[in-house]
Amino acid sequence: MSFTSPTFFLLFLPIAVLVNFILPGRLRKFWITVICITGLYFTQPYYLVFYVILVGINYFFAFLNSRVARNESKLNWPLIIIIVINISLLVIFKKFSTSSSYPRNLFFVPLRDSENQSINWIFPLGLSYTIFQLVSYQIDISSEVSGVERDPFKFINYSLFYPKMFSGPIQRYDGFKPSLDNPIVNLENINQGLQRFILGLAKKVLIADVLVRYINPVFNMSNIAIPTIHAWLILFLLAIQIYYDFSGVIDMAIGIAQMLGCKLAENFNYPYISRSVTEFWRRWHISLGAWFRDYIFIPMQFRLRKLKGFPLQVITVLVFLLTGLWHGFNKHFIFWGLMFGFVIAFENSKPGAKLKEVWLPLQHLWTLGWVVFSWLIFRAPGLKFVMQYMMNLIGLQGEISQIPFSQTNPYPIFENSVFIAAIAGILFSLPIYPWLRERIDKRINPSKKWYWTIKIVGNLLLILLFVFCIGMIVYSGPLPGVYDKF
Amino acid sequence: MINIEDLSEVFRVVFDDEELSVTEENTANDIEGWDSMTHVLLLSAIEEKFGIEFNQKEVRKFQTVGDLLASVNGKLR
Repeated sequence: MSFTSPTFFLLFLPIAVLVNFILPGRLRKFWITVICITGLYFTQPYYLVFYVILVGINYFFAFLNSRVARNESKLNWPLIIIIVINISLLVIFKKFSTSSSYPRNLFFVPLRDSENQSINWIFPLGLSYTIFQLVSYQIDISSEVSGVERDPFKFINYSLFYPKMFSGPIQRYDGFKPSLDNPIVNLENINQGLQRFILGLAKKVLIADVLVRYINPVFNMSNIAIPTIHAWLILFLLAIQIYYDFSGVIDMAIGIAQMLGCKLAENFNYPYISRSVTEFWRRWHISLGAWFRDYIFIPMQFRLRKLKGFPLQVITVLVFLLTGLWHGFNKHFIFWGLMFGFVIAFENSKPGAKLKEVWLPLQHLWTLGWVVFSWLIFRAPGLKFVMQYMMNLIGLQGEISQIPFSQTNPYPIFENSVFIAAIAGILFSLPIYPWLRERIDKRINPSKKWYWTIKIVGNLLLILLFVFCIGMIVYSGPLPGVYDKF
Repeated sequence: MINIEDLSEVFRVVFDDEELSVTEENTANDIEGWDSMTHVLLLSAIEEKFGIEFNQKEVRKFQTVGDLLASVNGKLR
């Protein structure tokens, strides 16, 4: 059940929020568990039991892990075992699952016969996020950064919290603990959460999904030969689409959580204004970058610190290779990760440090150049496509392919909606909204006569935006998010 | 026992900033250049200067410069 499906936001969400609001505080954790389990059931019923077992095993290992961790000299074998279990599951599913599926029941038994039942596994949606979260939980316990969650309901609510289940963010336990113990359920939070949800919905539906209709047909071509100007245009649209798709879904997740009185970590901080690729990775998919930083990058550096002269660059490249693999065991993701690894390793080397001294616009050009190019690799079906596409970018595509319009519709006819979405996309990727918000909040307060006018106009605009979104979804149907498949 | 000024000296060398002065409340966000690339360099420099050794577990728990100072002093005692 995607956040953009009307069943979700017109039925499931209002019921979830309303009941949570009415219930007395001590019953809310049970209700959140009900939301998590039903949400999971409506998304992939055949993985419900799997997820509950996974969470159960982690729940028990956390106790063993914390007991052994108290003794400094002892090898923490429960920690090692549980990490191996978690990571192996992720690796096995990444390696052997396919995206095509056929229905299965709650206990994973296929509902109809298929020729190759045994190997045709579908990937459990959200597994990459859930596993990384569970690993962070276990490591934090072993290093005594956080304690064990004793309440099984709260542990389910942390591990399988529906808003963040399928697209993240990868939430740390210590940051979520206050939300588990004392969710702040009030009208103010519901109001703000709803605002955030609508803005996220608009980012996804009115910007990303408008653009993706033009991008997908191009990326579905088997032999790509399109006009050079189109190749560039599509590449820029892709950069806007991926950002608005992923950050829109994250805004919705944070908004839904807030409506339920819980606080999720931010995952984006205007990544496209970065002055270096290093900075970009501190502003893009923050929770994933922070995970690799805290659990791989710094611990590895720390262990190797006595080996004077061991290049930091090697660890950097390794971490980004793993970041690529996290997305999938495909050559293009590996290449994508390695590319970032090498660029960031270079930026943090002696010659690379000089980049900080060059003319500012050139720093942005350097950063955006790599990032935009990286999305081509990320989105492409394979490396062969990337090579072909690059030929298109430099005008060596040969004869433009004549594919019947019916197969590529709506490409190559760009309607005005694309340009409006693209311009809005560029504008709002700059921190205009917080800047404006701060000005308005500073100028107006309840004593000023304009206060209520501005409040009401603001809310009317949001309602209008919401109506536009529904219209758009009814018109084109809800589309899956780019980051829903991990 | 060392004080915050002794620690500041290490920071000045690592971050190559002669005017840098840290307080116990400072975190990595307050000090320019203190990021994942320089964090371990800083820890190694502190270890070397005061002849101590940190372990992985305590390193993860440091939140502020004050935590760092307390840990160093705990080891020197």
